[in-house]
Amino acid sequence: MADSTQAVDLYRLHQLTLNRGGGSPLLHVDDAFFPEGQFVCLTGPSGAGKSSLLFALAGLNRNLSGSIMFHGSNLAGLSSTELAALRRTSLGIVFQHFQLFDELNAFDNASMQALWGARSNRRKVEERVGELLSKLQINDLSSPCAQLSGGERQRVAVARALASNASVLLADEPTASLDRQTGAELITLLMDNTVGIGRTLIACSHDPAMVERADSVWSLGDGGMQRIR
Amino acid sequence: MFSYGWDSLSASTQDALVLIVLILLPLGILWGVQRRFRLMPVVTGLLRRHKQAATAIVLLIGLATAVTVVFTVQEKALKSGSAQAADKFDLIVAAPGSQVDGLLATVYLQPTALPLLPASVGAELRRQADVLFAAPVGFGDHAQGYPLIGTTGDLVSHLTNTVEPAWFDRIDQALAGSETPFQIGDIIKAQHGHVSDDSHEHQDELRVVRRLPVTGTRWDHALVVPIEALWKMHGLGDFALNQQGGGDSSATESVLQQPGVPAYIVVAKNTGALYSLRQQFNARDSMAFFPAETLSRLFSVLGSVADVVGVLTLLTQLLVGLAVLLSVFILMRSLSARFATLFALGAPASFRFSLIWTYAAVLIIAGTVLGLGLGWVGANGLASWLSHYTRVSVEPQLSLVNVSLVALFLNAMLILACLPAWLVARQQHSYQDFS
Repeated sequence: MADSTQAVDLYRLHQLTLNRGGGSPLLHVDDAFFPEGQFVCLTGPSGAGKSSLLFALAGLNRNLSGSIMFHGSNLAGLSSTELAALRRTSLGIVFQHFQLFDELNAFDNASMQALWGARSNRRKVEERVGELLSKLQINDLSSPCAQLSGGERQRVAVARALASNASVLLADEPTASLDRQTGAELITLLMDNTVGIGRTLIACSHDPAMVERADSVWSLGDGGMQRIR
Repeated sequence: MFSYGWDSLSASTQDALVLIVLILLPLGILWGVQRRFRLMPVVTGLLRRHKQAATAIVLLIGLATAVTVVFTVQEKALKSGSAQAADKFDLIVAAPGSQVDGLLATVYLQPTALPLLPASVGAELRRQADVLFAAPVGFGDHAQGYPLIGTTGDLVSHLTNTVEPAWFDRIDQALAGSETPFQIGDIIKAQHGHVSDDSHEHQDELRVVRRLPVTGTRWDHALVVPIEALWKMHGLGDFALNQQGGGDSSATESVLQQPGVPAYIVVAKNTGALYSLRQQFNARDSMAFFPAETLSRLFSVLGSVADVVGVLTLLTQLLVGLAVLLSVFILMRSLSARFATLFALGAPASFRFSLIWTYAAVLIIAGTVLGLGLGWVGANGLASWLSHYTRVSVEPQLSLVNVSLVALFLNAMLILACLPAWLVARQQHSYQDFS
């Protein structure tokens, strides 16, 4: 595990309040930071605001006050175009419900970044996706994703998030639909492709195996968040 | 400078250039969009996912386009076919009355009761130096449902572009139009009156001696007999066969003895002479008119109706276009989770816009091409029915202008398709859309 005191802050949250749809506060964070190059795990009971915070880090939850500094820029002050560019270039996201295009095959789903990326970069993304899918043991590349098993779909979603070579991977309950063995393999894969090569992994999870392997762990509950490791 | 260059081009070159621009413009934009983004995997995926909706939209556009194609092509073909059928009838001289009735009865052989011209008018026509021939035309009888037309050999030669020294050797001979079933040697008995009338059979027999070549006129569906045969059948006198419509004074004298006829078809040496004859024979006892001119007036009246129908057709097409775009919008809204995912993955708004626009463009282009094909098949089917019904050769032709009109509609739809694309692409999504 890396030592957080030597790491550079990637995210710094200050006086951050996340609100519910109706406007009432869901989560308040006085001050917190997530260092670069580490595996940060957000844990806590359902409804504590784990996913809300994770997506706020991606610029997808703007129902908030306070600041989320990312590499020194306050996400709350960025336009939606700037946030989209940030997600495109720096963030990879694994959704809890995968959010795959069921009618597309595994390869097209995983190489989605190539659809809008520069032509010169498409070949690289596609080569990387080929390697990732092979590493993730997705052999059926031609069938629509609707025909894949839950585990396979999960791995395609991971491949898509890793394909962009983003410096940060945000994962929402990535092992939720996997058995213990497959879950452990997935954690290894995620870590190998992020913290293993100097990138950051931020995941929210109930899974003790994930919490166990994280560099820093933040617990959410009772409207607040505290670091437990 | 450009204006001068453009004006110096022929109309067909201008039409072709406009069409090329109307086709290349959307294809060029589509090509450019495909080069910028790799859209086809998602577009084909969405088309597969919503096969039925996509097919319905393509069919809707196809049918709307086909209706426009059928209408525009058919109207032109009908006008051109009718005009062509009247082409050989330079000047008609009939008893004073309705020119339209004279036209319909003489050129299109429609059952119409025309008053008779006095024989003196025929004699006067034959006296004119500039008249090549003035052929009497008599009708009102039929054989097995085919109209029986009495006239002279001059007119038959003129209509068929065939020079024969004598079409008839005897008064009881008949020439079968190219679209009649009669064969050489057939013996027919004429019946008095029109097909729909309570007609009775004449005693005289006629023998088919020739089948006429195609003229492209209603006369292809008729039996042509010497005018003298008609007079004889009707007990108006037993006249010797004289099949020359112009000529000498002895012939003129004999014409004065003949019964009246409904009309004369006059062919003159030149156009100037035709105008003089028209003026001269628009008198108390006769009415002279150019069939083409009457037809043109008729078309101008019908043209206003056609314009209204044309506008209604375009409006219908526009409404179908709007309905299609609304369907695309609703379809895309039903896929909002997909667009939320693209948004979350950082797909630029221009990508999401291009995706929806390309999806709509594929449906619109497929529907338009289908409509063009269906329209062409429909126009031919309708033309064949009209040819049979009107006995006038109606040949539809898909002109550059027709295709340009369709291409213009295609471009308008593609521009309108920007609207649902913009509405969906501008949507901001939050994590609640996919959590």
